Order: sequence, then C-alpha cells, then structure tokens
Amino acid sequence: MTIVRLRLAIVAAVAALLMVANPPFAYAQRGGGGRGGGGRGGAGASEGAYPYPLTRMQLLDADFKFKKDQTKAVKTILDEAHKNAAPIREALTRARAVLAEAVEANKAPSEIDVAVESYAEQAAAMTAVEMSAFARVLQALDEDQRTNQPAVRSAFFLMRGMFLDSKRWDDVPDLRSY
Amino acid sequence: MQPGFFLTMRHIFRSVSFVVTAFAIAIPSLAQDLPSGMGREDTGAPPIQVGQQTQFQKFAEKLKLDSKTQVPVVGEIFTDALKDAAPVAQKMLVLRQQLVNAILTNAPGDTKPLVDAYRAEAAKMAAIEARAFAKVYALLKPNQQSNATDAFALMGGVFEPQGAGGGRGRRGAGAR
Repeated sequence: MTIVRLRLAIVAAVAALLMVANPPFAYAQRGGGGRGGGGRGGAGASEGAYPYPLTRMQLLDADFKFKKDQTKAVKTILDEAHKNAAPIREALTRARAVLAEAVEANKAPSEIDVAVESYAEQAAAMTAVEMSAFARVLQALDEDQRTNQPAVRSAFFLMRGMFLDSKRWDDVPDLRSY
Repeated sequence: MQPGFFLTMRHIFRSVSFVVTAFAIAIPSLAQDLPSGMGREDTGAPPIQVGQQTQFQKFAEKLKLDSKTQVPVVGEIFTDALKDAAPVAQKMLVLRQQLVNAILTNAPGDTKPLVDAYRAEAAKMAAIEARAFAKVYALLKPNQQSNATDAFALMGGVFEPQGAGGGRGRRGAGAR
C-alpha cells in the first residue's frame, strides 16, 4: 500500500512538473504572457489589496487588473448572465433531482436515460450561458489583458458553476459544479 | 481572436491527465482524513480543515459515510468512474473552449452544433455519475438513504477537472 502511494506521489509530482513547465494555455499573439509564465506569481498587486479569501470578481480583477470602467462593465455582464441563468439553474436542479430519484428507485434504464438526457440539456444550456458571458468579458478587455494567458485561463475555469447560486455569482468560489 | 487562443489539445491533455492523477491520489487519502464522528478518535479534537472541503468530502459527509468501512469502497467507486469520465471531461473542456472561440469570432451558426455536441458529452458524464451513484446507493444503510438525493447534487461535475476555478479564493493565504 505504501509503495502504491509512493508511486502515485511520484506520478503526481511528475505531472505537476509538466504543468509548471508547460502551462495548459498556449500563449497567444504577443508571444509572452507578460506575467511570468508558470502561474499566479504575477497576480500580485491587486490581489494583495483584497481580504482573503477572494470573491470571483476580486479574482478576475486581481488577474486582469481592471480599469475603473471595465470593473463596471464586467460586473454588468455577469449580473445579466446570472439573471438569465435563473430558469436554467432551476431546471438543472430539478433535472438532477429527477435523475437521482430514478436511480434510487432503480428505474428501468430507458427511464434513467430520459432523465440523463433531460439533465444534459440543462447542463449544456448553463454552459452556453457561462461561455457566452466569458466571451463578453473578454470583449470588454483591452488587448494586453486578453493576451494575458494565465489570467484568461483562470477566468475560463472560474466561469464553471459561476451562476449556480441563486442569490449571487460574486462569491468566494467553491467546488460546486454540475 | 486567433484560433487556439485558449487551449491546445496537447496542453489540455496534460492538464486533464494531471487533474485525473491528482484526483486519483486524493480519493484514497480522503478515506483517512475524514473523521468518523465529530472529531478524531485519538485526541477528540475537531479535525483541522486546511482549505476547502473537496466534493468527495462533502459527499461523504452528506451521507454520513463510515470512514472505515464505507469511505474506502466509495472512494474506489469514484476512482473507477473517474477513469471512464476522463475522456468525456476532456471533450467537454475542448467544446467549452470552442464555444467561446465561436462566440468571439461572431460565428453564431457554429455555436448550436457545439452546444449540441456538448449536450451529448454532458449526457455521457451524467450517465457515469448516475452509475457511480447507483453503486454508492446500494451500499447505504436505510438511515443514510434519506440524504442520497442531496448527495447526488454534490456529485455534479465531480469527475471533471476544476482547473483554476474551484477554491481559488483561498489561494491568497500563502502568497501574501
């Protein structure tokens, strides 16, 4: 058991090194990625101004260093998307519960398939809202910000599940997903 | 916006591989970390929670899984499901990226096929989650089953890479 763990730890360490050596986002036009290739080191100045832990908006600001008008524009985009996501969120929650109940009741595979499809439809709709909002956020940025690959990558993942909370999107991100 | 602005397939594969590997390692270790009661048996003190709870921890807690007998078995179920889910998760990640690029390049005709493709992959992922959940449900005692529906909600996306999003709010701790 210990040997297995040791092996897994070695695999993880190698994978981590690969990640550091090759960030998962390709650097774009300007050939650089201005803020120090491997990670979050550059996210510093703005981030330090916020109390820990950071909310989604604070994280975006820390990464992209919004100008004043951009902060408002991004907030408006995400507020609208959160509002638009409301019916999808509700349908998603319902579909998830229906699927759970079908499994618990040991329903026929065909019935479970229907529940799966219904859930997947809402999941795709929610993803479309998230990615659309993300694209609009990128469009609100200037060239230097858009070519900041670590920031873009972080924001891309930050969008996942952003609108699952019915009350607000600008919260400390958790691992909730769908 | 240039094609391949966000991700390349090669990089995605590495990223997903890493997350899958990390997850596979994390699950067995969780079996030891989860308290069976309010605190640890040896000291009686509450467990120190470093960072956020993982989805798996929340899932186990919601079902009040026994840390010695049930958590390891459920961990194996999740690990097996993770293997099935890895290629699906990879496709979903790529499709999300393609969707953004399609929107950015003002190609509305391209978005519907991508959303449809995403829905197909999301169905595969949901089926994997449902199969894993069915196996877990079969292990539950009657008093644990009452929370099963809520626990299934916590399984959403559990087999997908969380990337930089989940838990990022905590990262400032050591950095500053």
